[in-house]
Amino acid sequence: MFSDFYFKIVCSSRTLEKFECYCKLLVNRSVVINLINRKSRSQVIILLNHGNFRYGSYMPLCLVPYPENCTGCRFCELVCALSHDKVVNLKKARLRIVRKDIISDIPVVCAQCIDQEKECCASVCPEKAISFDGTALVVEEEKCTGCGLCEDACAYGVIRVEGTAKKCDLCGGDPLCVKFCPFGAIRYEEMKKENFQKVLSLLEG
Amino acid sequence: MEGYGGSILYIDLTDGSFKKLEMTKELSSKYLGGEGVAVKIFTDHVNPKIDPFDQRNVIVIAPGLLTGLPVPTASKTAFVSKSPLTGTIAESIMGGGIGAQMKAAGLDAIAIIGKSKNPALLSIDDDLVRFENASPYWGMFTRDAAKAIKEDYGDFVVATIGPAGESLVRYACIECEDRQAGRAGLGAVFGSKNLKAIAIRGSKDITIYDPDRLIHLALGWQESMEKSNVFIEDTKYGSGEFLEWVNAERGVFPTKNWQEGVFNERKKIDPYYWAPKYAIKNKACFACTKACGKLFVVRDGPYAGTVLDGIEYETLYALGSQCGNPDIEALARANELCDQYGIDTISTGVVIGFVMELVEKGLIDEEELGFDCRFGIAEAVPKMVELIGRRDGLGALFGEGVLRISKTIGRGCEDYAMHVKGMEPPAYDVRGMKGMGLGFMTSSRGACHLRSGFYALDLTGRFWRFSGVDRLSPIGKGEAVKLMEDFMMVYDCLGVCKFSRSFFKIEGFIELLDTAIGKSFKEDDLLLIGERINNLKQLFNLGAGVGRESYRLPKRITHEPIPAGVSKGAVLTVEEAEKMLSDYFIARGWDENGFPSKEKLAQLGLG
Repeated sequence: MFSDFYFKIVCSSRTLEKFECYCKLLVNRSVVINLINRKSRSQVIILLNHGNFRYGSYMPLCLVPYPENCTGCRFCELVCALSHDKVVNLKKARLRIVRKDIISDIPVVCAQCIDQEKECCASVCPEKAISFDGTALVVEEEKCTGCGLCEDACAYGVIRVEGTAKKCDLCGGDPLCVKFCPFGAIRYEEMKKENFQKVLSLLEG
Repeated sequence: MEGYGGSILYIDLTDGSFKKLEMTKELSSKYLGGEGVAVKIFTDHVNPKIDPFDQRNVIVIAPGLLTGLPVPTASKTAFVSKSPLTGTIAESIMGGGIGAQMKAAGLDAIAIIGKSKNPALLSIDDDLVRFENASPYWGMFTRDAAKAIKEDYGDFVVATIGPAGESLVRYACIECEDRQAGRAGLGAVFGSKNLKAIAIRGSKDITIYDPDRLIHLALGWQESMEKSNVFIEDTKYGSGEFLEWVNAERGVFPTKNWQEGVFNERKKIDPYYWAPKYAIKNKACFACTKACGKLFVVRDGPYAGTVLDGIEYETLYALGSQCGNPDIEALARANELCDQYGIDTISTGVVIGFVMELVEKGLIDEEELGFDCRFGIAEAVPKMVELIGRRDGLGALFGEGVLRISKTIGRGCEDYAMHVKGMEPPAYDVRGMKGMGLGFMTSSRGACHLRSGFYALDLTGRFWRFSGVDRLSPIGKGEAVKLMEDFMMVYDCLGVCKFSRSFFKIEGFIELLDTAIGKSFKEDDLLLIGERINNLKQLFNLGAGVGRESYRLPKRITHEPIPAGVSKGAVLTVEEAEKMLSDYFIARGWDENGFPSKEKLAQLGLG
């Protein structure tokens, strides 16, 4: 678990592209320094741990759906809404389970449109209010005007406007939905595009 | 009110009118929700003497207090009405998501009276209540009807009857999201009202007293559940996971219309055999993270294309051992047909087994039936389901249930018409499980294992406050069954799955209720509420003329010992049954005819 001690430095230089630098102090007193290039979504992680340090680059994790495992229980939706909006309301979840028929239960999750190959909430936002915070694509409430263009753009229908835009924030790196899914229908791991493609084709199908 | 929808909707199908009343704090504190609230509303509005098909019969639907909230396995919604099968008050509990949508639409109960002139679809979209024309769906199988309604109206959750409910088969059920309100024929009550289906969708907030703490508690329960043996077995093999054990270690698995207590050909209907072969993935009731259902698919053979959510323990008996049927694919097809026609698998299977014995004894003419129908003939099972579902030929009589079949045919077959109060019995041979036998007798809706859940105590010797339970002894069972009935009623009020009762017991709910609705109950408070509701049901049944003589067990149970296996020689005599019943009435505070004393009623606030 991360502590709250975390600060952001924006830096640039002629040799390096513009990087944002997030430092997090972990509870075991390691320091994680994320250098994130927003344009290329690449990251360099430097982990300082009791005087040793390691570094490497990695793809950020996101929720990955496995529809073949989904039982259709919808518990993920219940906890998502209760955790974020403090009420029980399936319509307020930032993911949705489509119970199509006896064979298909489809977990539709935010893809954190990592590579922005197609239009997504972040790319269409006129205020640039949605951006990557080191863990997920999140909405900066102060910038959001509630215009709803993000809702129209989302291929999965998992962002909604209620005053301002509400979307999956991966619960800061410890997604709750995953904790209540013993069948692995939603996993927190590296992006698998084919899984999202399968979801889209099942929804159409 | 935190945790609740807020209102009760009263529907009159005769004139297409409705009114909404407030869900009161009093109803909440005295009846909680689910079956409790439904029973209270029902008994306030229905004369116990009416015929179940009379349009003055009411059917009440109520989600459990915890249903719709993120509490693992809080999935259940209760349906309550007067049963066409038993003539008693009857509840039927289901795990489909209709109750959660009710709460999301602001409703804690729906009470439906009257009869629609034309086939009706009741549609509830938050505050919008509409009586839609269901003629396009009348005659459709349950799955087809639900699909068609969703295509026409949108992303509603649909609870529907099948053709059997429409034609008033007395054990017709109500289907929602591949789960059923199975027993007691409440699907026929829908049918008698010309009500094909209810479609509900809601978008309202349900508030919680302490949201973050509720999530924290849910996480704790989830973690401990996942570590348990129950979780591992149920998720891997479903509810049938103990089938072999019941046969081999206890010898109390009713077989061939209860002529035997062990099914020798059970290997291929055991989930240990069929789950790896036919189960594609797990399927869950609403909000159940312990998904014990299976998506069962038959890919080849004569029943290729069979797809269902199953196969449950009870069905493995009813369409399996009860018919001497060792063929899992024929069993699966029969199960699927029950789901599609909309009939209870347990009652259907017991009827089929009964018919098989009648054929073997020459009391039913196989010529008239049109096909071979004897124990062990696998193809006969799905054929019989079709006959019953369509009320075809003799199927019309079969759709009346074993009690009425036996009265029509006579010639001594009443002795092996397996039922109590008209309700066909589930998969526990009570000759070797006497506490459960008492539970069959005392259950308000007839032979039922879930009203008391006593089978767990009989089979394992212990549960909750009980230990050292001797399944072959009739001693001390009166008090124990009474307490277990009150215990199980709490589950039906909260809407929590009874398969979780080894986790929560009763004390597990104390903190959950405090966190969800901000109300402090003690364990005894909850059990008192359970007792109150059981007494309310008893008052209704007495008014309906259900007297002590209705509690009788079939002659096969009282006079024919189990012939082989671990429980060879076991029988539940009339003397034992009467003694247990008398003990039970004393424990309940009722007189020897089952009438609650004035003191008992006063104690429960029913006086």
